[in-house]
Amino acid sequence: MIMAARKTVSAWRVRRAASRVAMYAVLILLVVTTVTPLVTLILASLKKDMELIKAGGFALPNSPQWQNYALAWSKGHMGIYFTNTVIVTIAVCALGIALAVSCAYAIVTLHIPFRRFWTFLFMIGIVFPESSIIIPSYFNLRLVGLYDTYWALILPQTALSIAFGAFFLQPAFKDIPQELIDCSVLDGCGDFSTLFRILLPMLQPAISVLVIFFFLGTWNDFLVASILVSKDELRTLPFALLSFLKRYTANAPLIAASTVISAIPAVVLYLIFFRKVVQGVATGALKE
Amino acid sequence: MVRKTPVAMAWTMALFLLPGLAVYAAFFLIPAVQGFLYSLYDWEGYRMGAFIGLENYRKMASDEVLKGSIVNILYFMVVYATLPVALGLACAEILSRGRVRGSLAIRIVYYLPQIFNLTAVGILFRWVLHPDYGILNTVVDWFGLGGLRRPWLGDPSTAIHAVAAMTVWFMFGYVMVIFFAGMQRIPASLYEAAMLDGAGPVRQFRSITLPSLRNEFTVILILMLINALNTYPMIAAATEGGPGYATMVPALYGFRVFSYQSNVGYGSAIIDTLVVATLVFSMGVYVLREREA
Repeated sequence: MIMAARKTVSAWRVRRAASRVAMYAVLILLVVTTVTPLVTLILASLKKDMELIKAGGFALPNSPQWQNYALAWSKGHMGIYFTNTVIVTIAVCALGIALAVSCAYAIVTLHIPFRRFWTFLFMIGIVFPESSIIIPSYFNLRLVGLYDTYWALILPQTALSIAFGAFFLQPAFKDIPQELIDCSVLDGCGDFSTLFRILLPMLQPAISVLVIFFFLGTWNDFLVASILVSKDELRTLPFALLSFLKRYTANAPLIAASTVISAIPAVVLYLIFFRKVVQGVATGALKE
Repeated sequence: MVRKTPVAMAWTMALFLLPGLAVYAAFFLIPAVQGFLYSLYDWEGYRMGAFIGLENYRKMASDEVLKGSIVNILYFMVVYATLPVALGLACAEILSRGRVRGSLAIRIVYYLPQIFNLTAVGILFRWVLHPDYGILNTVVDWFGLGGLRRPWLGDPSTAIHAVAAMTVWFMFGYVMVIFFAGMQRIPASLYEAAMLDGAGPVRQFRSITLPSLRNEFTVILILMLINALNTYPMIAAATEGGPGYATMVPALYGFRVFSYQSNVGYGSAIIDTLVVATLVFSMGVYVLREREA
Protein backbone atom coordinates (compact mmCIF):
# COMPACT_ATOMS: atom_id res chain seq x y z
CA MET A 1 0.00 0.00 0.00
CA ILE A 2 2.57 2.50 1.15
CA MET A 3 4.93 1.51 -1.65
CA ALA A 4 2.18 2.04 -4.23
CA ALA A 5 1.34 5.42 -2.79
CA ARG A 6 4.99 6.42 -2.89
CA LYS A 7 5.19 5.36 -6.49
CA THR A 8 2.24 7.51 -7.53
CA VAL A 9 3.64 10.46 -5.59
CA SER A 10 7.00 10.17 -7.27
CA ALA A 11 5.39 9.73 -10.70
CA TRP A 12 3.36 12.83 -9.98
CA ARG A 13 6.54 14.68 -9.01
CA VAL A 14 8.26 13.67 -12.25
CA ARG A 15 5.27 14.80 -14.27
CA ARG A 16 5.16 18.07 -12.43
CA ALA A 17 8.89 18.66 -12.94
CA ALA A 18 8.54 17.84 -16.62
CA SER A 19 5.69 20.26 -17.05
CA ARG A 20 7.65 22.98 -15.28
CA VAL A 21 10.60 22.40 -17.59
CA ALA A 22 8.32 22.62 -20.62
CA MET A 23 6.78 25.80 -19.21
CA TYR A 24 10.12 27.51 -18.74
CA ALA A 25 11.30 26.29 -22.14
CA VAL A 26 8.36 28.01 -23.85
CA LEU A 27 8.82 31.21 -21.86
CA ILE A 28 12.55 31.39 -22.46
CA LEU A 29 12.25 30.59 -26.15
CA LEU A 30 9.85 33.52 -26.50
CA VAL A 31 12.14 35.82 -24.50
CA VAL A 32 15.00 34.92 -26.84
CA THR A 33 12.90 35.44 -29.97
CA THR A 34 11.74 38.80 -28.68
CA VAL A 35 15.10 40.10 -27.58
CA THR A 36 17.45 38.73 -30.25
CA PRO A 37 16.36 41.02 -33.11
CA LEU A 38 16.71 44.03 -30.81
CA VAL A 39 20.18 42.98 -29.66
CA THR A 40 21.40 42.44 -33.21
CA LEU A 41 20.04 45.85 -34.13
CA ILE A 42 22.23 47.42 -31.44
CA LEU A 43 25.19 45.31 -32.55
CA ALA A 44 24.66 46.40 -36.15
CA SER A 45 24.60 50.04 -35.12
CA LEU A 46 28.12 49.70 -33.72
CA LYS A 47 29.71 48.00 -36.70
CA LYS A 48 31.38 49.13 -39.86
CA ASP A 49 29.35 48.60 -42.99
CA MET A 50 31.68 45.99 -44.51
CA GLU A 51 32.06 44.28 -41.17
CA LEU A 52 28.31 43.70 -40.98
CA ILE A 53 28.21 42.15 -44.42
CA LYS A 54 31.25 39.93 -43.84
CA ALA A 55 30.75 38.79 -40.25
CA GLY A 56 26.95 38.60 -40.19
CA GLY A 57 24.38 39.82 -37.71
CA PHE A 58 25.44 37.88 -34.61
CA ALA A 59 29.14 38.80 -34.56
CA LEU A 60 30.27 41.33 -31.97
CA PRO A 61 31.66 44.55 -33.42
CA ASN A 62 35.47 44.56 -33.70
CA SER A 63 35.73 47.99 -32.20
CA PRO A 64 32.44 49.76 -31.40
CA GLN A 65 31.80 52.48 -33.96
CA TRP A 66 30.17 55.08 -31.73
CA GLN A 67 30.62 57.63 -34.46
CA ASN A 68 27.72 55.97 -36.30
CA TYR A 69 25.50 57.62 -33.71
CA ALA A 70 27.24 60.98 -34.04
CA LEU A 71 26.94 60.73 -37.80
CA ALA A 72 23.24 59.83 -37.71
CA TRP A 73 22.62 62.64 -35.23
CA SER A 74 24.33 65.42 -37.20
CA LYS A 75 24.73 64.44 -40.85
CA GLY A 76 21.60 62.28 -40.88
CA HIS A 77 19.58 65.10 -39.20
CA MET A 78 18.48 62.72 -36.45
CA GLY A 79 19.15 65.55 -33.97
CA ILE A 80 16.56 67.74 -35.72
CA TYR A 81 13.98 64.97 -35.95
CA PHE A 82 14.56 64.07 -32.32
CA THR A 83 14.07 67.66 -31.15
CA ASN A 84 10.90 67.95 -33.25
CA THR A 85 9.49 64.80 -31.75
CA VAL A 86 10.26 66.06 -28.24
CA ILE A 87 8.53 69.40 -28.93
CA VAL A 88 5.45 67.80 -30.46
CA THR A 89 5.18 65.12 -27.78
CA ILE A 90 5.43 67.58 -24.90
CA ALA A 91 2.92 69.92 -26.51
CA VAL A 92 0.41 67.13 -27.13
CA CYS A 93 0.79 65.77 -23.60
CA ALA A 94 0.36 69.20 -21.98
CA LEU A 95 -2.54 70.38 -24.13
CA GLY A 96 -4.19 66.97 -24.19
CA ILE A 97 -4.12 66.57 -20.42
CA ALA A 98 -5.29 70.12 -19.70
CA LEU A 99 -8.21 69.92 -22.12
CA ALA A 100 -9.19 66.34 -21.32
CA VAL A 101 -9.20 67.02 -17.57
CA SER A 102 -11.34 70.12 -17.94
CA CYS A 103 -13.81 68.31 -20.23
CA ALA A 104 -14.13 65.31 -17.92
CA TYR A 105 -14.50 67.69 -14.96
CA ALA A 106 -17.29 69.56 -16.72
CA ILE A 107 -19.09 66.39 -17.75
CA VAL A 108 -18.83 64.45 -14.48
CA THR A 109 -18.46 66.88 -11.58
CA LEU A 110 -20.00 70.15 -12.77
CA HIS A 111 -23.22 68.47 -13.94
CA ILE A 112 -23.49 70.34 -17.22
CA PRO A 113 -26.55 69.56 -19.36
CA PHE A 114 -26.49 66.95 -22.19
CA ARG A 115 -23.72 64.94 -20.53
CA ARG A 116 -24.51 61.76 -22.44
CA PHE A 117 -24.37 63.62 -25.72
CA TRP A 118 -20.90 65.06 -25.00
CA THR A 119 -19.66 61.66 -23.93
CA PHE A 120 -21.01 60.18 -27.15
CA LEU A 121 -19.19 62.85 -29.19
CA PHE A 122 -15.90 61.99 -27.52
CA MET A 123 -16.53 58.30 -28.09
CA ILE A 124 -16.49 58.92 -31.84
CA GLY A 125 -12.85 59.92 -31.49
CA ILE A 126 -12.09 56.60 -29.86
CA VAL A 127 -13.81 54.30 -32.33
CA PHE A 128 -12.77 56.14 -35.50
CA PRO A 129 -9.26 55.19 -36.64
CA GLU A 130 -6.70 57.94 -37.01
CA SER A 131 -6.51 57.33 -40.76
CA SER A 132 -10.04 58.71 -41.18
CA ILE A 133 -8.96 62.31 -40.55
CA ILE A 134 -5.66 62.46 -42.43
CA ILE A 135 -6.70 63.37 -45.97
CA PRO A 136 -9.27 66.04 -44.97
CA SER A 137 -6.85 67.45 -42.38
CA TYR A 138 -4.29 67.96 -45.13
CA PHE A 139 -6.65 70.30 -46.98
CA ASN A 140 -8.05 71.96 -43.84
CA LEU A 141 -4.60 72.76 -42.51
CA ARG A 142 -3.58 74.18 -45.88
CA LEU A 143 -6.71 76.32 -45.90
CA VAL A 144 -5.96 77.91 -42.51
CA GLY A 145 -2.23 78.18 -43.16
CA LEU A 146 -1.14 75.63 -40.57
CA TYR A 147 0.14 73.04 -43.06
CA ASP A 148 3.89 72.50 -42.64
CA THR A 149 4.00 74.01 -39.14
CA TYR A 150 4.38 72.40 -35.72
CA TRP A 151 0.64 72.93 -35.23
CA ALA A 152 -0.09 70.48 -38.05
CA LEU A 153 1.66 67.84 -35.98
CA ILE A 154 0.29 68.94 -32.61
CA LEU A 155 -3.40 69.77 -33.08
CA PRO A 156 -4.75 66.58 -34.73
CA GLN A 157 -2.94 64.48 -32.13
CA THR A 158 -4.24 66.69 -29.33
CA ALA A 159 -7.78 66.23 -30.67
CA LEU A 160 -7.36 62.45 -30.52
CA SER A 161 -5.89 62.67 -27.02
CA ILE A 162 -8.78 64.81 -25.75
CA ALA A 163 -11.31 62.23 -26.93
CA PHE A 164 -9.51 59.38 -25.26
CA GLY A 165 -8.68 61.34 -22.12
CA ALA A 166 -12.17 62.75 -21.58
CA PHE A 167 -13.41 59.17 -21.73
CA PHE A 168 -10.64 57.57 -19.70
CA LEU A 169 -10.87 60.10 -16.83
CA GLN A 170 -14.62 59.89 -16.23
CA PRO A 171 -14.51 56.89 -13.85
CA ALA A 172 -11.75 58.57 -11.82
CA PHE A 173 -13.86 61.71 -11.46
CA LYS A 174 -16.90 59.62 -10.54
CA ASP A 175 -14.93 57.92 -7.76
CA ILE A 176 -14.51 61.20 -5.92
CA PRO A 177 -17.21 61.50 -3.24
CA GLN A 178 -19.74 64.24 -3.91
CA GLU A 179 -19.57 65.37 -0.23
CA LEU A 180 -15.96 66.34 -0.70
CA ILE A 181 -16.85 68.59 -3.61
CA ASP A 182 -19.86 70.05 -1.76
CA CYS A 183 -17.65 70.83 1.22
CA SER A 184 -15.13 72.68 -0.86
CA VAL A 185 -17.93 74.69 -2.48
CA LEU A 186 -19.30 75.55 0.98
CA ASP A 187 -15.80 76.60 1.99
CA GLY A 188 -16.00 79.16 -0.75
CA CYS A 189 -13.99 77.38 -3.44
CA GLY A 190 -15.04 78.19 -6.99
CA ASP A 191 -15.00 75.64 -9.83
CA PHE A 192 -11.35 76.35 -10.56
CA SER A 193 -10.01 76.06 -7.05
CA THR A 194 -12.10 72.93 -6.41
CA LEU A 195 -10.44 71.37 -9.44
CA PHE A 196 -6.93 72.47 -8.58
CA ARG A 197 -6.95 72.12 -4.78
CA ILE A 198 -9.21 69.14 -4.20
CA LEU A 199 -9.56 67.04 -7.33
CA LEU A 200 -6.22 67.18 -9.13
CA PRO A 201 -4.19 65.75 -6.22
CA MET A 202 -6.67 62.87 -5.98
CA LEU A 203 -6.63 62.27 -9.74
CA GLN A 204 -2.88 62.19 -9.98
CA PRO A 205 -2.60 58.38 -10.50
CA ALA A 206 -5.11 58.37 -13.37
CA ILE A 207 -3.50 61.42 -14.93
CA SER A 208 -0.02 59.95 -14.84
CA VAL A 209 -1.26 56.83 -16.66
CA LEU A 210 -2.78 59.12 -19.25
CA VAL A 211 0.41 61.17 -19.68
CA ILE A 212 2.40 58.03 -20.41
CA PHE A 213 -0.27 56.84 -22.81
CA PHE A 214 -0.21 60.16 -24.70
CA PHE A 215 3.58 60.25 -24.69
CA LEU A 216 3.98 56.82 -26.27
CA GLY A 217 1.18 57.42 -28.77
CA THR A 218 2.60 60.73 -29.94
CA TRP A 219 6.24 59.70 -29.88
CA ASN A 220 5.49 56.76 -32.17
CA ASP A 221 2.90 58.38 -34.40
CA PHE A 222 3.48 57.84 -38.08
CA LEU A 223 0.29 58.84 -39.87
CA VAL A 224 0.02 62.53 -39.00
CA ALA A 225 3.74 63.06 -39.55
CA SER A 226 3.74 61.29 -42.90
CA ILE A 227 1.14 63.49 -44.59
CA LEU A 228 0.55 66.72 -42.66
CA VAL A 229 4.07 68.13 -42.95
CA SER A 230 6.45 67.93 -45.89
CA LYS A 231 9.44 70.05 -44.84
CA ASP A 232 12.47 68.09 -43.69
CA GLU A 233 13.00 70.50 -40.76
CA LEU A 234 9.59 69.51 -39.34
CA ARG A 235 9.84 65.75 -39.64
CA THR A 236 9.35 63.60 -36.56
CA LEU A 237 11.18 60.34 -35.95
CA PRO A 238 8.91 57.53 -37.22
CA PHE A 239 8.40 59.06 -40.65
CA ALA A 240 11.91 60.50 -40.85
CA LEU A 241 13.25 57.00 -40.35
CA LEU A 242 11.42 55.85 -43.44
CA SER A 243 12.88 58.55 -45.68
CA PHE A 244 16.23 57.98 -43.99
CA LEU A 245 15.99 54.34 -44.99
CA LYS A 246 15.58 55.29 -48.63
CA ARG A 247 18.43 57.81 -48.58
CA TYR A 248 21.04 55.64 -46.85
CA THR A 249 20.08 52.13 -48.00
CA ALA A 250 23.76 51.43 -48.59
CA ASN A 251 24.81 52.29 -45.03
CA ALA A 252 23.08 49.76 -42.81
CA PRO A 253 24.87 50.62 -39.52
CA LEU A 254 23.80 54.25 -39.87
CA ILE A 255 20.17 53.20 -40.27
CA ALA A 256 20.51 50.89 -37.28
CA ALA A 257 21.91 53.72 -35.15
CA SER A 258 19.03 56.01 -36.19
CA THR A 259 16.49 53.32 -35.37
CA VAL A 260 18.00 52.91 -31.91
CA ILE A 261 17.96 56.68 -31.35
CA SER A 262 14.29 56.84 -32.34
CA ALA A 263 13.34 54.24 -29.73
CA ILE A 264 15.44 55.22 -26.70
CA PRO A 265 13.16 57.75 -24.94
CA ALA A 266 10.06 55.56 -25.29
CA VAL A 267 11.91 52.48 -24.08
CA VAL A 268 13.41 54.28 -21.07
CA LEU A 269 10.00 55.64 -20.09
CA TYR A 270 8.56 52.16 -20.53
CA LEU A 271 11.16 50.46 -18.37
CA ILE A 272 10.57 52.96 -15.56
CA PHE A 273 6.77 52.95 -15.73
CA PHE A 274 5.96 49.43 -16.95
CA ARG A 275 3.04 49.00 -14.57
CA LYS A 276 1.41 52.27 -15.55
CA VAL A 277 1.90 51.58 -19.27
CA VAL A 278 0.21 48.22 -18.89
CA GLN A 279 -2.57 49.67 -16.79
CA GLY A 280 -3.31 52.23 -19.49
CA VAL A 281 -3.27 49.58 -22.20
CA ALA A 282 -5.50 47.14 -20.35
CA THR A 283 -8.14 49.65 -19.31
CA GLY A 284 -7.92 51.47 -22.63
CA ALA A 285 -8.46 48.28 -24.58
CA LEU A 286 -11.40 47.09 -22.52
CA LYS A 287 -13.10 50.42 -22.80
CA GLU A 288 -13.14 50.43 -26.57
CA MET B 1 -25.28 70.04 -4.36
CA VAL B 2 -25.41 73.70 -5.19
CA ARG B 3 -27.64 74.49 -8.16
CA LYS B 4 -26.39 76.95 -10.70
CA THR B 5 -28.42 79.52 -12.60
CA PRO B 6 -28.64 78.93 -16.37
CA VAL B 7 -26.27 81.83 -17.01
CA ALA B 8 -23.69 80.50 -14.57
CA MET B 9 -24.02 77.07 -16.15
CA ALA B 10 -23.43 78.53 -19.60
CA TRP B 11 -20.26 80.16 -18.29
CA THR B 12 -19.15 76.88 -16.74
CA MET B 13 -19.59 75.10 -20.05
CA ALA B 14 -17.80 77.82 -21.97
CA LEU B 15 -14.85 77.70 -19.58
CA PHE B 16 -14.45 73.97 -19.04
CA LEU B 17 -16.05 72.06 -21.89
CA LEU B 18 -15.72 74.41 -24.84
CA PRO B 19 -11.90 74.64 -25.24
CA GLY B 20 -11.44 70.88 -25.43
CA LEU B 21 -14.56 70.35 -27.47
CA ALA B 22 -13.53 73.05 -29.97
CA VAL B 23 -10.07 71.57 -30.61
CA TYR B 24 -11.56 68.10 -30.83
CA ALA B 25 -14.31 69.17 -33.23
CA ALA B 26 -12.05 71.25 -35.46
CA PHE B 27 -9.28 68.67 -35.80
CA PHE B 28 -11.13 65.41 -35.46
CA LEU B 29 -14.91 65.42 -35.78
CA ILE B 30 -15.12 67.71 -38.79
CA PRO B 31 -12.33 66.02 -40.80
CA ALA B 32 -13.83 62.61 -39.99
CA VAL B 33 -17.09 63.70 -41.64
CA GLN B 34 -15.31 65.45 -44.52
CA GLY B 35 -13.47 62.23 -45.39
CA PHE B 36 -16.75 60.58 -46.31
CA LEU B 37 -17.77 63.52 -48.48
CA TYR B 38 -14.46 63.59 -50.36
CA SER B 39 -14.94 60.03 -51.56
CA LEU B 40 -18.05 61.13 -53.44
CA TYR B 41 -16.18 63.55 -55.73
CA ASP B 42 -14.13 63.24 -58.87
CA TRP B 43 -11.07 64.89 -57.41
CA GLU B 44 -7.59 64.62 -58.82
CA GLY B 45 -4.95 67.21 -57.98
CA TYR B 46 -5.70 70.37 -56.05
CA ARG B 47 -9.20 71.19 -57.19
CA MET B 48 -12.34 69.41 -56.12
CA GLY B 49 -14.20 68.21 -59.25
CA ALA B 50 -17.78 67.14 -59.89
CA PHE B 51 -19.95 65.17 -57.51
CA ILE B 52 -19.98 61.61 -58.84
CA GLY B 53 -21.82 59.73 -56.11
CA LEU B 54 -20.47 56.25 -55.51
CA GLU B 55 -18.39 56.13 -58.70
CA ASN B 56 -15.12 55.94 -56.74
CA TYR B 57 -16.42 52.96 -54.82
CA ARG B 58 -17.51 51.28 -58.04
CA LYS B 59 -14.02 51.80 -59.43
CA MET B 60 -12.63 49.77 -56.54
CA ALA B 61 -14.29 46.62 -57.86
CA SER B 62 -12.18 46.65 -61.03
CA ASP B 63 -8.87 47.63 -59.40
CA GLU B 64 -6.59 44.60 -59.53
CA VAL B 65 -3.99 46.03 -57.13
CA LEU B 66 -6.69 46.78 -54.60
CA LYS B 67 -8.16 43.30 -54.98
CA GLY B 68 -4.76 41.74 -54.30
CA SER B 69 -4.30 43.97 -51.27
CA ILE B 70 -7.70 42.93 -49.91
CA VAL B 71 -6.71 39.28 -50.19
CA ASN B 72 -3.52 40.14 -48.28
CA ILE B 73 -5.34 42.00 -45.54
CA LEU B 74 -7.81 39.14 -45.10
CA TYR B 75 -4.84 36.83 -44.61
CA PHE B 76 -3.31 39.24 -42.08
CA MET B 77 -6.60 39.48 -40.23
CA VAL B 78 -6.72 35.72 -39.87
CA VAL B 79 -3.11 35.69 -38.64
CA TYR B 80 -3.69 38.56 -36.18
CA ALA B 81 -6.79 36.92 -34.75
CA THR B 82 -5.14 33.54 -34.20
CA LEU B 83 -1.38 33.27 -33.62
CA PRO B 84 -0.69 36.23 -31.30
CA VAL B 85 -3.93 35.49 -29.46
CA ALA B 86 -3.00 31.85 -28.84
CA LEU B 87 0.57 32.72 -27.84
CA GLY B 88 -0.48 35.65 -25.69
CA LEU B 89 -3.12 33.60 -23.91
CA ALA B 90 -0.74 30.72 -23.24
CA CYS B 91 1.92 33.08 -21.86
CA ALA B 92 -0.58 34.96 -19.70
CA GLU B 93 -1.84 31.69 -18.22
CA ILE B 94 1.67 30.39 -17.46
CA LEU B 95 2.78 33.72 -16.03
CA SER B 96 -0.26 34.25 -13.86
CA ARG B 97 -0.77 30.69 -12.59
CA GLY B 98 2.60 28.97 -12.94
CA ARG B 99 4.52 30.60 -10.05
CA VAL B 100 7.19 31.62 -12.54
CA ARG B 101 10.38 33.20 -11.30
CA GLY B 102 11.04 36.60 -12.86
CA SER B 103 7.45 36.87 -14.06
CA LEU B 104 7.62 40.67 -14.09
CA ALA B 105 10.83 40.74 -16.13
CA ILE B 106 9.38 38.30 -18.64
CA ARG B 107 6.25 40.39 -19.03
CA ILE B 108 8.37 43.50 -19.54
CA VAL B 109 10.25 41.74 -22.34
CA TYR B 110 7.13 40.40 -24.06
CA TYR B 111 5.49 43.80 -24.21
CA LEU B 112 8.68 45.59 -25.29
CA PRO B 113 8.11 45.36 -29.09
CA GLN B 114 4.94 47.43 -28.67
CA ILE B 115 7.00 50.36 -27.45
CA PHE B 116 8.87 50.69 -30.75
CA ASN B 117 7.42 52.85 -33.47
CA LEU B 118 6.05 50.87 -36.40
CA THR B 119 8.75 52.10 -38.78
CA ALA B 120 11.46 50.88 -36.43
CA VAL B 121 9.81 47.46 -36.29
CA GLY B 122 9.68 47.31 -40.09
CA ILE B 123 13.34 48.30 -40.35
CA LEU B 124 14.29 45.81 -37.68
CA PHE B 125 12.83 42.99 -39.72
CA ARG B 126 14.60 44.13 -42.86
CA TRP B 127 17.67 43.23 -40.79
CA VAL B 128 16.49 39.98 -39.36
CA LEU B 129 15.35 38.76 -42.78
CA HIS B 130 18.14 40.29 -44.86
CA PRO B 131 19.44 37.94 -47.59
CA ASP B 132 23.16 38.50 -46.80
CA TYR B 133 23.59 39.21 -43.13
CA GLY B 134 20.07 38.58 -41.77
CA ILE B 135 20.09 36.51 -38.60
CA LEU B 136 17.27 34.26 -39.78
CA ASN B 137 19.47 32.96 -42.59
CA THR B 138 22.30 32.48 -40.09
CA VAL B 139 20.01 30.46 -37.83
CA VAL B 140 18.85 28.43 -40.83
CA ASP B 141 22.52 27.62 -41.51
CA TRP B 142 23.11 26.55 -37.90
CA PHE B 143 20.46 23.89 -38.27
CA GLY B 144 22.03 22.70 -41.51
CA LEU B 145 19.07 23.88 -43.53
CA GLY B 146 21.12 26.04 -45.88
CA GLY B 147 18.74 25.16 -48.70
CA LEU B 148 16.09 27.28 -47.03
CA ARG B 149 18.25 30.43 -47.17
CA ARG B 150 16.45 33.12 -49.09
CA PRO B 151 15.66 36.84 -49.18
CA TRP B 152 12.58 36.32 -47.03
CA LEU B 153 11.08 39.73 -47.73
CA GLY B 154 12.28 39.91 -51.32
CA ASP B 155 10.89 36.57 -52.45
CA PRO B 156 7.24 37.02 -53.55
CA SER B 157 6.33 33.57 -52.27
CA THR B 158 7.61 34.15 -48.71
CA ALA B 159 7.27 37.93 -48.29
CA ILE B 160 3.69 37.87 -47.05
CA HIS B 161 4.38 35.14 -44.50
CA ALA B 162 7.50 36.96 -43.34
CA VAL B 163 5.39 40.07 -42.72
CA ALA B 164 2.82 37.94 -40.90
CA ALA B 165 5.56 36.52 -38.65
CA MET B 166 6.69 40.06 -37.92
CA THR B 167 3.19 40.99 -36.74
CA VAL B 168 3.14 37.99 -34.40
CA TRP B 169 6.41 39.15 -32.87
CA PHE B 170 4.95 42.62 -32.49
CA MET B 171 1.47 41.75 -31.18
CA PHE B 172 1.63 38.77 -28.83
CA GLY B 173 2.88 40.79 -25.87
CA TYR B 174 -0.07 43.13 -26.24
CA VAL B 175 -2.50 40.22 -26.06
CA MET B 176 -0.59 38.78 -23.11
CA VAL B 177 -0.86 42.02 -21.13
CA ILE B 178 -4.62 42.29 -21.60
CA PHE B 179 -5.30 38.65 -20.75
CA PHE B 180 -2.93 38.82 -17.79
CA ALA B 181 -4.81 41.83 -16.40
CA GLY B 182 -8.07 39.92 -16.82
CA MET B 183 -6.68 36.86 -15.04
CA GLN B 184 -5.69 38.93 -12.01
CA ARG B 185 -9.38 39.62 -11.46
CA ILE B 186 -10.38 35.94 -11.23
CA PRO B 187 -10.79 35.09 -7.52
CA ALA B 188 -8.13 32.66 -6.29
CA SER B 189 -10.81 30.78 -4.32
CA LEU B 190 -12.21 29.39 -7.58
CA TYR B 191 -8.89 27.73 -8.35
CA GLU B 192 -8.50 26.45 -4.79
CA ALA B 193 -11.93 24.84 -4.94
CA ALA B 194 -11.10 23.25 -8.29
CA MET B 195 -7.83 21.91 -6.91
CA LEU B 196 -9.65 20.28 -4.00
CA ASP B 197 -11.93 18.64 -6.53
CA GLY B 198 -8.85 17.20 -8.19
CA ALA B 199 -8.82 19.36 -11.33
CA GLY B 200 -5.39 19.62 -12.98
CA PRO B 201 -3.94 22.80 -14.53
CA VAL B 202 -5.41 22.09 -17.98
CA ARG B 203 -8.85 21.43 -16.54
CA GLN B 204 -8.62 24.59 -14.43
CA PHE B 205 -7.66 26.58 -17.49
CA ARG B 206 -10.63 25.22 -19.46
CA SER B 207 -13.24 25.44 -16.74
CA ILE B 208 -12.23 28.57 -14.85
CA THR B 209 -9.81 30.79 -16.77
CA LEU B 210 -11.40 30.62 -20.22
CA PRO B 211 -15.01 31.25 -19.14
CA SER B 212 -13.92 34.14 -16.90
CA LEU B 213 -12.10 35.81 -19.79
CA ARG B 214 -15.01 35.83 -22.20
CA ASN B 215 -15.13 39.61 -22.15
CA GLU B 216 -11.41 39.96 -22.81
CA PHE B 217 -11.71 37.44 -25.62
CA THR B 218 -14.26 39.34 -27.67
CA VAL B 219 -12.41 42.59 -27.12
CA ILE B 220 -9.06 41.07 -28.07
CA LEU B 221 -10.39 39.49 -31.25
CA ILE B 222 -11.94 42.72 -32.38
CA LEU B 223 -8.88 44.77 -31.44
CA MET B 224 -6.73 42.37 -33.42
CA LEU B 225 -8.91 42.83 -36.51
CA ILE B 226 -8.79 46.62 -36.08
CA ASN B 227 -5.02 46.46 -35.61
CA ALA B 228 -4.64 44.32 -38.72
CA LEU B 229 -6.32 47.09 -40.71
CA ASN B 230 -4.26 49.88 -39.15
CA THR B 231 -0.69 48.71 -38.53
CA TYR B 232 0.33 49.20 -42.16
CA PRO B 233 3.27 51.62 -41.45
CA MET B 234 5.18 48.53 -40.37
CA ILE B 235 4.65 47.06 -43.83
CA ALA B 236 5.56 50.36 -45.45
CA ALA B 237 8.94 50.22 -43.73
CA ALA B 238 9.58 46.51 -44.21
CA THR B 239 8.57 45.98 -47.84
CA GLU B 240 6.76 49.09 -49.16
CA GLY B 241 4.06 46.68 -50.22
CA GLY B 242 6.45 44.73 -52.43
CA PRO B 243 7.99 42.83 -54.03
CA GLY B 244 5.60 43.94 -56.75
CA TYR B 245 2.36 44.11 -54.79
CA ALA B 246 2.96 40.90 -52.84
CA THR B 247 2.51 42.54 -49.41
CA MET B 248 0.37 45.53 -50.40
CA VAL B 249 -2.49 46.31 -48.02
CA PRO B 250 -5.46 48.65 -48.64
CA ALA B 251 -4.43 51.39 -46.18
CA LEU B 252 -0.96 51.71 -47.68
CA TYR B 253 -2.43 51.63 -51.16
CA GLY B 254 -5.09 54.23 -50.31
CA PHE B 255 -2.55 56.71 -48.97
CA ARG B 256 -0.36 56.06 -52.02
CA VAL B 257 -3.24 56.84 -54.35
CA PHE B 258 -3.68 60.07 -52.40
CA SER B 259 -0.08 61.20 -52.07
CA TYR B 260 1.64 59.77 -55.18
CA GLN B 261 -1.21 59.93 -57.69
CA SER B 262 -2.93 62.93 -56.04
CA ASN B 263 -6.26 61.18 -56.51
CA VAL B 264 -8.11 62.56 -53.49
CA GLY B 265 -11.52 61.11 -54.32
CA TYR B 266 -10.41 57.56 -54.99
CA GLY B 267 -7.86 57.53 -52.13
CA SER B 268 -10.58 58.73 -49.73
CA ALA B 269 -12.93 56.00 -50.95
CA ILE B 270 -10.35 53.31 -50.13
CA ILE B 271 -9.54 54.77 -46.72
CA ASP B 272 -13.24 55.28 -45.91
CA THR B 273 -13.97 51.66 -46.68
CA LEU B 274 -11.35 50.75 -44.09
CA VAL B 275 -12.79 53.24 -41.63
CA VAL B 276 -16.23 51.67 -42.04
CA ALA B 277 -14.75 48.19 -41.54
CA THR B 278 -13.03 49.41 -38.36
CA LEU B 279 -16.31 50.94 -37.14
CA VAL B 280 -18.22 47.74 -37.83
CA PHE B 281 -15.72 45.79 -35.72
CA SER B 282 -15.86 48.39 -32.92
CA MET B 283 -19.65 48.25 -32.92
CA GLY B 284 -19.29 44.49 -32.63
CA VAL B 285 -17.84 44.97 -29.14
CA TYR B 286 -20.91 46.86 -27.99
CA VAL B 287 -23.40 44.47 -29.56
CA LEU B 288 -21.71 41.45 -27.98
CA ARG B 289 -21.45 43.26 -24.64
CA GLU B 290 -25.12 44.20 -24.66
CA ARG B 291 -26.17 40.67 -25.46
CA GLU B 292 -24.12 39.30 -22.58
CA ALA B 293 -25.38 41.84 -20.07
